[in-house]
Amino acid sequence: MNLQGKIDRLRREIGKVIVGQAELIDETLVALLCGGHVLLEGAPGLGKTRLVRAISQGIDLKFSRIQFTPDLMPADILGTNVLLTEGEGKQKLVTFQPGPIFAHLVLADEINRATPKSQSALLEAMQEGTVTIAGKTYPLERPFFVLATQNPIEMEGTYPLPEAQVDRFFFKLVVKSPDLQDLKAIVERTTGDLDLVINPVLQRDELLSLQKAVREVPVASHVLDFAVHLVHATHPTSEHASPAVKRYVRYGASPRGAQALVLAAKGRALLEGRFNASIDDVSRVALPALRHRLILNFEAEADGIEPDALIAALIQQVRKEVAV
Amino acid sequence: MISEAFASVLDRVGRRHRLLTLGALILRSLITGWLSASLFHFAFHLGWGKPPAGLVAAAFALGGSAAYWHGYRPPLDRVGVARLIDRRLDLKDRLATAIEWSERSSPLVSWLLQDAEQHARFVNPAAVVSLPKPSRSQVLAALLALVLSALLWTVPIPSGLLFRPLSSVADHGGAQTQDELLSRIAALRQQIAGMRSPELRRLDRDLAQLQAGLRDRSLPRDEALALLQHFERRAHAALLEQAAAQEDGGSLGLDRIQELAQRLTVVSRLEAAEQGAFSTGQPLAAGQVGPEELPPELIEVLRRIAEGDGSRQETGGPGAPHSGGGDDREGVAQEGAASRERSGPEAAAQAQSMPAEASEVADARRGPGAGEEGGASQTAAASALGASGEGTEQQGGSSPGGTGSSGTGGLGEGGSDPPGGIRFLEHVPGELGEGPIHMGQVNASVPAPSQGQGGAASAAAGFLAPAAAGEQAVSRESVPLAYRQAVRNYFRALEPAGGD
Repeated sequence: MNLQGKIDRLRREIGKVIVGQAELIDETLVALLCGGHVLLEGAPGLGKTRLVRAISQGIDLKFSRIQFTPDLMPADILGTNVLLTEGEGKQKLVTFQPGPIFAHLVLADEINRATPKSQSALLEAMQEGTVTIAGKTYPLERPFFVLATQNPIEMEGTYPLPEAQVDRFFFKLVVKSPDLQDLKAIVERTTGDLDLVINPVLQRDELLSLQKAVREVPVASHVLDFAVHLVHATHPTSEHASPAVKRYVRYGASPRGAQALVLAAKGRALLEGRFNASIDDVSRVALPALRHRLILNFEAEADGIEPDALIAALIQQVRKEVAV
Repeated sequence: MISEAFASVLDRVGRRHRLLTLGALILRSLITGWLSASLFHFAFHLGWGKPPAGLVAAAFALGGSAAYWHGYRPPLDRVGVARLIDRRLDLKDRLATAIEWSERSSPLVSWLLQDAEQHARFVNPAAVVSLPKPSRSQVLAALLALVLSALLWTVPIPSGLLFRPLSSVADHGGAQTQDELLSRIAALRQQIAGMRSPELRRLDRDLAQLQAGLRDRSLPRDEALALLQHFERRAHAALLEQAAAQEDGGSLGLDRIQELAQRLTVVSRLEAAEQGAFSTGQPLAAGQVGPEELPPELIEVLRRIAEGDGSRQETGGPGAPHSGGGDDREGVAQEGAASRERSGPEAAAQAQSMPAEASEVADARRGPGAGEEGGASQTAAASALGASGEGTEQQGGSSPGGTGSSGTGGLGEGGSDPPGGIRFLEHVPGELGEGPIHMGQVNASVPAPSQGQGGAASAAAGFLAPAAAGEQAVSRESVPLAYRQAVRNYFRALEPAGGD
């Protein structure tokens, strides 16, 4: 079975348990193919945990879930050294007990409820791909994929992620509430006696190959120009910035955002069975790749301006400026 | 490397794109040039007048060139053509990426090339680069622009609103060039050449001066045209008056009287008349002249002159003779004809037509018993200043019917009676330059105060009204047009304050 076929089958398997979130599934798969981490934001009960679990089942990856609470300690995430008695002589040995982070697919539920110290432990592992405990570094097995969730409703008593930490996530996906038909389907599937089983479609090695192939997807120069112009236009001091950007944005996207944009476009193209990234691919991945990288000012908060609206306007503007 | 089929498709699309783009650019340039020329024509006509064809053509070329330069784009290369195809056919940048990565070796690149060539096989150049189809609004805008531009050429436009027109003489509706003005002057002079009217002769002199001023360019053309139109009106009025006078038949007009007076060469001397030594061409002696001594033709002329002078005196015409009482004596009339006012060969010819006999002006005394009765009187006098005929004075003549004149002294024996009678013109042939001084005539005419019988009339009586004198001087003498008002002012300044 070719790549496109496997991708389509994976979508169908995941779609067994996740209803009406096709775009969310594709974006999650794109991030997975690009080797990036995802920050999911949505109200409780929308299937964020189920999505991650379904993906892990469809790709046959080791899955772990971490429920972040205010009393969560970094050792609870990373692991710790324990003193164990082993052998006939009852020798006591210090053994490292890996934490839940040592998995392929990690669900960090309500990451904003944990203390900054615990958040940093996770984010460091996300960035470095290793865990250092007591001076000893433990590599994390590839692929390593973290899906962190956030509840935007209950912000009291939480520790919002700092912008520098949010910037490490590849995508920020917004989980929307299902419409009427999707809600009906969800209820039908989950309140019956159907036992929905997700069959694995991709193996771990295949996923690694795909992740390598994504980086080899060709990108035309004008597509690259478009992506760079788009990121540059998010800065209020840029000559390409729109009046709205100059008015509402305090800081624009970093170079990490440009990397995410281009890589995501490649992954998007590969996911759709194409062998090149196009301007359309860049436009489609611009929102999840940049919405958490734009830091708005107080005037934007007062006027209720969302980053998505600014990015959508910038896409149209840059399309005209970089026209063929 | 891309395949030849792939390259052929790109070349065909590129060629079609170049042709259509160039055609659209040329059409746009032509339309822009036409609009530029139309606007330039309208603006230039409004400001100055009709523009030269060369400037309009230059505006057309400039507008078209600007549009061509503004709209020119370099032809697309293969990558540009590929991008154009990707965009028009929604190929997700396959062709452009394949061309750019064609030199690299990679499994994905090879798959991409195969995929691109597969898609390029079905590319139709006409579908990629189609003829532009203007929208309805564009068509309406083009039609509106065409109609407006056509109106700019056909609608009458007022010209010269901002700046003075190139030719100001054209506004006068008359002659535009100097040659045309001179032709009109010559034609007008030829028209009035045969006329003997003093007015027309003065007009002829003025036309001569105008002609001289045009030739030496001392007179601006606009002023010359205005003067010429004024002279034409004067000539027309004078000709009409002359024609009316001729139709009237019989009555002598003032001009006619002057003309007759200038032709008279009869000079009377009272002494010669008494002795009967009168003859044509011989001066008459001072003294009484009896009617039987005068030829009938002269009597008839004098009668007619008297009749005309009498009508003028009734209306209080200028220069009416002093109607004094018996104490007044008529002074000696003024000297002879004003042939000095003529100059040139015309004057010489006219002078030769008259007897060139110097004569004295003598007073003919009225015969005894003559009263101021109506009737014919032989009066023939014209003052030397009588170019306008105003100086004509009538004096009692020795006629049977007495004289009808008034204000003239009657004849009387002895020196106490104011001299009346006839005064005759003295013709002095004119010539250029300073002429001789007629001292003898002056002495004879104006006796010394100790010897004379006293002034026949008051000093004021010897002068015409200053305004009239000024007019006579201006009309008689060859005074340039620019100085005539100064001459009039001079004579007005001579007006006595009061009395004598």
